[in-house]
Amino acid sequence: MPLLAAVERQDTKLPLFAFFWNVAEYLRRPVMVLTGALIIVYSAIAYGLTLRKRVVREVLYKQIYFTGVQPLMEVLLLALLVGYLFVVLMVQADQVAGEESSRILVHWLVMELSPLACGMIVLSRSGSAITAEIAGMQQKGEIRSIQLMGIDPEGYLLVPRVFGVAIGTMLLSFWFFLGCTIGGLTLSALFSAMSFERFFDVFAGSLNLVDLVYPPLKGAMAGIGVAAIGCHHGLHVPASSTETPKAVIATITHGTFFVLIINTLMMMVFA
Amino acid sequence: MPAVPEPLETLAFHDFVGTGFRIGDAVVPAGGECLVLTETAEQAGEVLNCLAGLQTPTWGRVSLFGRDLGSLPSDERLRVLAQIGIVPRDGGLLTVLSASQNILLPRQYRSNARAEDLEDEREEALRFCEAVGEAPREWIDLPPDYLSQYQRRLAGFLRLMLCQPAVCLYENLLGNLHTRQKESLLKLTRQFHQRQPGRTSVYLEFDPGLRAEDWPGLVLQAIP
Repeated sequence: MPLLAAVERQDTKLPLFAFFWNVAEYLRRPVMVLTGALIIVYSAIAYGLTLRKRVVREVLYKQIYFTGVQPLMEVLLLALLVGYLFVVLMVQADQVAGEESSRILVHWLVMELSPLACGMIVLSRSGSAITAEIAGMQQKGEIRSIQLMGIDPEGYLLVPRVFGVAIGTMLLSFWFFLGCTIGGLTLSALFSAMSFERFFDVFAGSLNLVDLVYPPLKGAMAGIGVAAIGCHHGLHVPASSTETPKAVIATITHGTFFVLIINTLMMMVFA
Repeated sequence: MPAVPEPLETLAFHDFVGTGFRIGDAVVPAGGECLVLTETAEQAGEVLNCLAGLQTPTWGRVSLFGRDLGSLPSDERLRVLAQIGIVPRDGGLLTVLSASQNILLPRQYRSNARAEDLEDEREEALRFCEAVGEAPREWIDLPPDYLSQYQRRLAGFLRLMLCQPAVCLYENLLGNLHTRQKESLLKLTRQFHQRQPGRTSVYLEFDPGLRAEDWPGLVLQAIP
């Protein structure tokens, strides 16, 4: 069979074979990254008991602070602006299509935009930082030093980062929601045609308890994936220091796809 | 200081062959001081990796406490490594922590102690270094990137001291240092070795700064 023979020879001169070979090569890297990230998530859960150790908890707290507390002002400012933007859209939707359309907008703001925006913020800050830090440790031989000290690298490096980013992203989703709500309420009262009471009625009437749990849960899922992808690229960086920026770019690229895909999948499941 | 564990079986090379070098068969007796002379720093690192079970030798095997660490499951290997004190090249410090935090890290990890609980032991280790003319307090709170090569290795040794191991492994502890610094480090490590009968010390060196004939203990030469 000519095609099978071409596969065995890896005959890339054959156009059809070359096409499928290139497609397979193109898909290989994301599949490897996804597999590596899943292994890291599994390791983090398997070694989760190391959180009983004080030094590991210190790393966890630092990660939560860096991911969920340090960017507070930037996130609140962004959320205020987004909140006001939504008020403007809500006013237009309310006037054109009635209350139902404005409720849909609020629902979309809380359920979809907040965790998506927070996921992207966490990716650009924490995901890239984790990759750069772990890549540096790998290249300087610090991970080897950790092993030689009798400390398991999974427990000391991966567990606090995966759980810390997940918790930090949940916190960030909460801050974003708070900023949008306060921003919308305040700015609607000051600048828009929608009164404070009207905005509050639409907002409060659009959400229930499940709607308030879902965004942090989605944020946590995105955070876990971002941390795992960041750790994967950091651990698999080649020896040269010039490879670190490439690893960071790979984290942001693959992390962007992951955040969008996880948001889409959860939207499909819970819609 | 915690009680020193009973010395177990020590170090043994069984027809050991690395990348481009050979040590052959050798046994390091309990309580001995052994110098393993290699031709390059990378060879010394490879020997340490094989000892710690992080790498498989090209041929043969090496055992610590009568066990080949490379054949052990990861958890068990780490438990054995926790009983050994290792000073990797350039001290093996983590750059995200200060030198002081690096010194306390393995003890804190194993005993789940706070830094304050280990203050007495840290002080004793610092006084031990000051007794030979060192001044670690001047730089102990700095991050490793601010320390010299010598200071980083000294910090790695202080970390080993706090663990009170039965077996001490030093990777390239003396290489690329000034003669006075080599003498100082050697004096410190040998005094620490003599503090506890039965403690075994192994130096993996490519540039020890002294002749093999002048070494008081066993000398193993890595042959190309």
